[in-house]
Amino acid sequence: MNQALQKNPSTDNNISKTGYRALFLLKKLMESPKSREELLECFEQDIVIKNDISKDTITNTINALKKAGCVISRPSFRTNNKYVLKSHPFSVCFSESNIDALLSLRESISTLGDWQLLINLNNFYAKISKLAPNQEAQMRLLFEHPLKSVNYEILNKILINAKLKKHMIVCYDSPQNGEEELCFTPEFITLENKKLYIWGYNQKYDMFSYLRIDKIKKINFMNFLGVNNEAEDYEKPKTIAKYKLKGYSALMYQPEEDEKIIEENPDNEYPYTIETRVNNDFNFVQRLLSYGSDCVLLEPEELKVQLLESIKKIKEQYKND
Amino acid sequence: MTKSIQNTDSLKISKEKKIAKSSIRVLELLKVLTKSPLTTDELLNAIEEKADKVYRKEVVIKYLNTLKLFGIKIAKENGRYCLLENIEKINFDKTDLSLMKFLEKYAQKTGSESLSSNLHEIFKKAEMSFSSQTKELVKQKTIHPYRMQNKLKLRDENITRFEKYCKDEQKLEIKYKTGAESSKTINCKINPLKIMYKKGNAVLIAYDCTENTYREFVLNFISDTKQLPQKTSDSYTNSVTFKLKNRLAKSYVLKENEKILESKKDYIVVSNSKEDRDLLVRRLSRYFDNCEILYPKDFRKKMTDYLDSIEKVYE
Repeated sequence: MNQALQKNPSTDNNISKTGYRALFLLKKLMESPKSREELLECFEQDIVIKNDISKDTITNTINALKKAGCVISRPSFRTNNKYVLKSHPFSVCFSESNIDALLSLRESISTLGDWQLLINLNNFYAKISKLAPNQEAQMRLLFEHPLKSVNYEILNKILINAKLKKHMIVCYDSPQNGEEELCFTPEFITLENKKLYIWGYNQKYDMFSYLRIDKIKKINFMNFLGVNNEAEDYEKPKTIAKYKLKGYSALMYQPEEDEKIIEENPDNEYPYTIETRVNNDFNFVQRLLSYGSDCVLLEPEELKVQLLESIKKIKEQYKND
Repeated sequence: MTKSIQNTDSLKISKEKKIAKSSIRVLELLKVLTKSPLTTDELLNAIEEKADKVYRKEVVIKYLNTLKLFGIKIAKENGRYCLLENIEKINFDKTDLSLMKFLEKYAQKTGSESLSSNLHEIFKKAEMSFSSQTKELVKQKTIHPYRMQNKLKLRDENITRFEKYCKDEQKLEIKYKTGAESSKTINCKINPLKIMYKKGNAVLIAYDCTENTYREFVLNFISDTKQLPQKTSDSYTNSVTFKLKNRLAKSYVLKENEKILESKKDYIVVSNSKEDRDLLVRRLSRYFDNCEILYPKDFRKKMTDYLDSIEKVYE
């Protein structure tokens, strides 16, 4: 602004001073809510309008801004006697088609399994939501994503613990037992079926398992004197499984944690043969079920048995059909 | 009573008087410039329309000078005035900027013209809103695109053609290789709706007029297409009803187009109206015997057929 002034030192007849004043007041209110006195002070410091302030300057200019479409709340006890600019119509805005493209892009990206990318994208969308054409579009940019129920403070604590390899006491809203305290050593995070999971060692059940992060209500660090919160040694699951995939499941395949493709040939009926460490039997059989007949589990035998037993149990419900 | 009305009216008039009209015209000029670049005549029209009065062209120049003096950057390109900067400023950090680069690349890789052109517009508007810190950051640091945990593979054949089919709103006849048995193909008559990327694969979301359901067709599996001279019509689909039991009933998060029909202590009954049936059967199988399909009957059979096909693999 000052640069522009320096270039145009004498501009009295070429500009609209009341227009300039309205822009000036708008800018000041965009910075922060201000009282009448604070606004007058700002006016007095501006080279263009400082000699042009009357008793009613602020009221007139506020009225002009309101008439032009600004929503400004009156100074009151609630607003600490300040004018608060709630919205204005002078920003460049996204079109409806821009909003649709952004939402569809996030939907696509959320299927890639990269939770960090999704969190960064959500942060970016939160910033650009300022350019949404209306409140509904703004809300969609802010909240229409699969991680909306994740508490980021809790997520940060989990990440710190996983990095330091320390166990933590979590208050978990378990669907089976209600709220329970678990001593859990976090290892890695996954994004599956649009939900965020933390995998690690669960001391209470003495097994490597996973917790849904949005179901963790609280994390209590164990930092009292004399209490060691270094993670105790625990055995990682040892079961290694091999399976091959074809069709739709092969096309949509993305390697999970502790998993690698050991054979890849796009010309084969089964383009992928995969080796994985089975961190949790239940979760692995779940995956096998969703692959359907696109998948052949090659080994181990005991997981094949588990899979077939699960199928038998599901079919039991339909036996009278 | 009459007196009080008169008083209110005179109050209104005095309030009206307290507004400097030229300030409103300057603000109006700024407002129309945020929408699109305009010529002097178009700007004049915008002011005249709002004020219901005739003005000289010099007035537009005067108001543009006011905006420029205030620091709003305006340029004249091809005879039209356009805003170079947005009045609203956003502070983007290094992660945001590297994400913008990643998204630009992502859109290019998808081959989707509509995504690329929308992103181009979106980033132009975002750049117009860069705060001074962000501008400094862009000047000082080399920004690399965000790197994904896994390598990004995008399969994008024919996406532009299918985007056009969606825009045309005409029925399509396709030959589709079914996912499970890639050698088998089925013929479908569909209303193409939209394209999305799922795990890096271009997928056509459409209404299958033969099956009366919404379906996802992987573009790579579509072997033949024929656009029909028939407009797409309203779609009606039968919903699938299923029962979720035990702990799943307590923790289940409803998907889009799902609603709870019944809720009891240890079970819920859910109705799903729009999910692709092939994908729904895969998803529901993950819930083991905590899920039972109730209606329709043919979908119960679909589940048992699906389970039979898995058993067959190990016979």
